[in-house]
Amino acid sequence: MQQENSVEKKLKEKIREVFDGFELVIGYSQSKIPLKVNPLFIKGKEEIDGLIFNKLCINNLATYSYALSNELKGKIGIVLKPCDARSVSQLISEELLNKDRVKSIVVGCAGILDYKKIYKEIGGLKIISADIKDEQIIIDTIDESFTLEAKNFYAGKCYSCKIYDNPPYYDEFIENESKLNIEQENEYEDVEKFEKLNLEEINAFWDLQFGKCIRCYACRNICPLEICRDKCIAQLDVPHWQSQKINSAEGKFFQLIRVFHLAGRCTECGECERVCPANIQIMKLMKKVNKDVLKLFNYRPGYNLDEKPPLLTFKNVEKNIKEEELI
Amino acid sequence: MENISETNKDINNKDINTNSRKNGVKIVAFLCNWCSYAGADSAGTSRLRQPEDIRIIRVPCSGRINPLFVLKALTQGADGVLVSGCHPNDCHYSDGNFYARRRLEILKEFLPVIGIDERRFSYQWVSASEGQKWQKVVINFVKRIREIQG
Amino acid sequence: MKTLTYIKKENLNTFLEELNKDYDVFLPVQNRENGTINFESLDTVNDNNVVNLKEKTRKSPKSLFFPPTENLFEFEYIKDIKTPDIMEIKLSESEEMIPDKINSRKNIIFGIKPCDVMALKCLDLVFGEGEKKDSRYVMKRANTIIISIGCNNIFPDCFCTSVGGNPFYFDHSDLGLIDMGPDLVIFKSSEKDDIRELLDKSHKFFEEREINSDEEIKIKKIISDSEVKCRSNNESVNAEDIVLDMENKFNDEEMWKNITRKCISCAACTYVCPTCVCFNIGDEQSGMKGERYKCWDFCTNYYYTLEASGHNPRENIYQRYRNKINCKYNYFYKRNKNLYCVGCGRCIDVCPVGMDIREIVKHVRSSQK
Repeated sequence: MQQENSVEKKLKEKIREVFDGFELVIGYSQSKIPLKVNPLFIKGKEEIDGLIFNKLCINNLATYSYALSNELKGKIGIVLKPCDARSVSQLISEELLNKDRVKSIVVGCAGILDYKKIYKEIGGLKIISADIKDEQIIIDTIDESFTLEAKNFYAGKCYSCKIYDNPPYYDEFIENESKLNIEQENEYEDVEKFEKLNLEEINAFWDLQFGKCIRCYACRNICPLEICRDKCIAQLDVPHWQSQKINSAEGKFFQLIRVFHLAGRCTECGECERVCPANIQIMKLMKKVNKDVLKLFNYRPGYNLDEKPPLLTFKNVEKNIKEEELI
Repeated sequence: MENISETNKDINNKDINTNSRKNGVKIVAFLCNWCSYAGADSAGTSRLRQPEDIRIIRVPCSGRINPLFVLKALTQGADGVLVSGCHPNDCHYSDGNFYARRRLEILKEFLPVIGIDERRFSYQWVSASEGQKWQKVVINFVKRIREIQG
Repeated sequence: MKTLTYIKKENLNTFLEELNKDYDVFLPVQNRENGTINFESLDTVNDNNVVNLKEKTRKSPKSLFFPPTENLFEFEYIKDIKTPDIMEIKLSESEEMIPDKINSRKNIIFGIKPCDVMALKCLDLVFGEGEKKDSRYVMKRANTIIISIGCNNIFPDCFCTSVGGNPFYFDHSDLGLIDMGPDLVIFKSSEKDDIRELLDKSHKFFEEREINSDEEIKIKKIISDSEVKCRSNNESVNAEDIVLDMENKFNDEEMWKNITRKCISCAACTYVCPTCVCFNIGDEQSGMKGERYKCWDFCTNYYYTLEASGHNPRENIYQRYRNKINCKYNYFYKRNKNLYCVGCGRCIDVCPVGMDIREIVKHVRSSQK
């Protein structure tokens, strides 16, 4: 579909250079489905040519880090974008990953296109083929063709990204000549807007959203920090946290379990919202908790390896917590 | 420190005293064993009257409270949830209530975004000798929940 | 000269609304907000939710016959204070199980694709036949009229021709329609009484036309173009061969581990698949009352084979995925002489990490042990 770009070349060279120390390297490869990419697990040097790195590489490959580091004995290398490297850094600071076993090969990012935004723009019409040239996306569907300006279709997180060429954590860094060049937005603006709605509107919104939930657990299983995916309390009968019924109330409660499991740990990669088959806007909840953690404890997950996550520690005097008095 | 009889006068007021089976509200209270549960107990032995709408669950420490306990109660029919523990620095297990304070503050700020009125939840520190404070906390909290219910 | 019945597309909306008066009509409805298409009742169509008959739905229509959650019955423990050591259990049928409620009005599924109709045939083999048939399923099936529209367009994830299907497979539908552009032609019509009744009632929307050989050629071309396109995109799979390959390569653990590394063992593919039917039964009790419910389950789940002892025969993802593929391309064929995959491609469309069942099957066939 596209010719090899220069950062792809540099990435392949670097991986060929360091490959002998690794048992497995995880990267991206081409997919048959338009606008999507596949994870690629490289066990032998000959497979390195299948690697790609471009604006469609939205998957967060850190999701395989925990399970693979337990299954394999040797070193694992993962190709990461700077935002994904935060997930690996957070796992290391929680002592779930060993720094010496999992090596992050971080590539400077020029922005990632969100295919869901593109589907919405073209009215959900099934795409037969898609191509990206310069800053334009050319799409063919059954009835018509579209030409879209790429700068309007980046993933939400890209519009407030400050780490695209200086990642907070890396073992190897591959610089990208093209840089992210889009208008920056305020980080938590959409959450602030949502908070202003009144309770009835919020309840109506969530009832509609969670009515579509089919409890597929894709959100939980794709999250790099949800290492509990095979041992989740939401699927147990004893203790009986939840019923297994598939309806709006149960879907909502499941997300509440996730929100509190990830409080102070979520690195806002946005994968949970991307993979949801029912297009539920989960990130609003995660970002709200992150905004509060930032406000109360001045902590951003995944930036500083030495900082302890705030809910795993405490202070005697909490400057920012204003407790309410009921008397 | 208020006079006991003055607070008792408040309670004779019909607003506070109701038959909880007829038109009361359902409030679940998680009390830590060493301070708050003892404090509620001392309120009882001092005959300090309170509304009967509160159902108490005893936990070893406020640090035992998983924010999901509160959410499960609120989503499954409780009208309000109260959590009470030892004062910070006085925890029987040294630091349980410090962790609780952080978690429960995050929970309190989060409730509006999921569509629950944040006035339905409160966390307090009541020590074993503060029977009167417990009475006031209960009266005010029940009053607040009844106002929300309408 | 042949005569065929045509429905003008401009009359389609009124036709469906007229049907909605006597029947409950379900059809593919697209939500303008996020673009997803699912089978919904005609009553939900408004400015934000429009009818879209050209594309596949995200979720399959199996939920109309096999709902994600249904209550089987309700129970109540009754104790009398005069006889405290005796406890009675009162059982009552849940409302959704009552036959009169199920049969109160006939249902119509309009715009279902041939792959999904083939899937209904597979569901019939599981729930509709033999000693263990599900009586409520049989009732719902008998109560539903299936109006299918053939596929003029083939998408990158369609592969019905690989598994013995066809973009214009109308055998199990009651009415089979073909999109001719300005109108739809009724290409196939069953002789059953309720179909005749429906056609008689709606004859004012139909046009009987005598067609010439040009028109016949046009129809045949639409059918063959789709079939050719689907076959050229995908390799054919011979059922007997694939069953043998699956058996032989079952123990090649290295191969299975390599091809399933990407999988995150969620339920997305299982729940959108039109043939996957695993279910779980549980009880929900509150005080002295409760209900027993049936809900969807997924075999890629860790808990699916977890035994009470704590041992789990399918502890790893590759074992669970291997079971899923074998269920579709091996076990079901051995029992029913029918492959359990209809080639709709929904699993490929919805998978978060791009697992492609065609690639997996190709790998299994071509790997050397």
